[in-house]
Amino acid sequence: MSELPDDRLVERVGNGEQQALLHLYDRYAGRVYTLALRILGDSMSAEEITQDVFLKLWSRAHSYLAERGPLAPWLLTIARNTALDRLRLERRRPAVADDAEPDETWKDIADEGSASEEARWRSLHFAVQALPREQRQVIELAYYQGLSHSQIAEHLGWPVGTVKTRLRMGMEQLRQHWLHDENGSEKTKTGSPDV
Amino acid sequence: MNANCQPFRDLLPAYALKALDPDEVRMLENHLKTCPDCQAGLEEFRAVSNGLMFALPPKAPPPRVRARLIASLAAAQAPAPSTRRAWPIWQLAGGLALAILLVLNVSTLSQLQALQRQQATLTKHLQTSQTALALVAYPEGRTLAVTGQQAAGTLILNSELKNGVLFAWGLETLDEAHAYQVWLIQPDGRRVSGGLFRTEPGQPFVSVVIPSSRPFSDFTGLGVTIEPAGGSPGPTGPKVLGTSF
Repeated sequence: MSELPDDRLVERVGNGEQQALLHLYDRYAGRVYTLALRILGDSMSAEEITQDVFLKLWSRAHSYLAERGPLAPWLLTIARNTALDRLRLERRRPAVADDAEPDETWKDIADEGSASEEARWRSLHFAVQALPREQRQVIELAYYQGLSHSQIAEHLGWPVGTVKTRLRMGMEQLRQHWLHDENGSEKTKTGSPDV
Repeated sequence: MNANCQPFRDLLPAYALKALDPDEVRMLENHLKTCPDCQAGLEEFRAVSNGLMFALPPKAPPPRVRARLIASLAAAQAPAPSTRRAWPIWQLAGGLALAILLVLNVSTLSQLQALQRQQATLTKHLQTSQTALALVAYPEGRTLAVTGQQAAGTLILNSELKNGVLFAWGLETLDEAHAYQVWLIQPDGRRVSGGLFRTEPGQPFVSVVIPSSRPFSDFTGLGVTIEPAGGSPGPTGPKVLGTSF
């Protein structure tokens, strides 16, 4: 069963098969936990969010429509929303990105080829890390802490205009990086038609 | 994209991150309704925004999260059946008729037997729980997580005593020819049987007292395997649960 694609496993989860849910857990729990941990900054809360996300999948499997998109973004969106809700509920002070070394974990993961999604996400991770600190801060506060322009400005003590400019510049760099990767992936996938 | 688009285009990155303030959201959404260029630009920023969900080096959660999930699943009801797969009316009518027939044909005797079985199970659970309570009441009482691929549980023991109690969730109901066998692991690696148990259909939890001829301090761990119904002198089947002391 572990070889089944996501949509078939979700169908089985919808029919009450716990083993199918555990296969999906083994496939995606790492990503869910990591995202929740990044948002909440607390491993115990991240563990609870991870469990909540898969219990939601258990109870709502029938509401997942494969034709609307892959399962992983669906799960991670639930994880992000659930974690941000908890963050707002607890009114925690957002964690500002620091200058710590980027996580080394990905450097140890074998590259499965430039066309793989894993390689694109890893590439995006390093692109975010490579942004100027001020740009990275505003993007991370917006995405991982759910703050608006004005909330970020208040939190960092910067003018709103500065926040907007830095966020725009950072996102533009990431967009260029993403599109460049996409073109590279297409070339790898389709070969070189010009030859 | 025309020159009038520029102020809106500047808002697209923040919109994709959901970082715009409400008045800006309204203004941009009105513009997006009539501007295909800005819609296309938004999709590119949305791709980046969605990518940020994945742009973190994945880190596995501790095994206890999986164990707790299994325990929660065992306690929770199965998911509601999909409304997208409605049954035809004749099938519903047939099912209803069958259900009525079944209800009418259940004899008083079988109900009584079921109640007696239930009472015996509840009595056993009560005795097991009382044993567990007694064990944790001692100062040396310990509670350990027991983990497996599809099941999880808790072991309550006292190193100086000869009884432990195992609570487990998520174990499959075995056929008549098989049973779960508990093994106590000696420091030299040899396994000593800690008894056999079975799970009842529809019972999410199982609790068993594990008797031992020696104190638990003589052992380094515990395992549970699937064995033939009468038990085995040593583990031969797949391991479903385990823990170290």
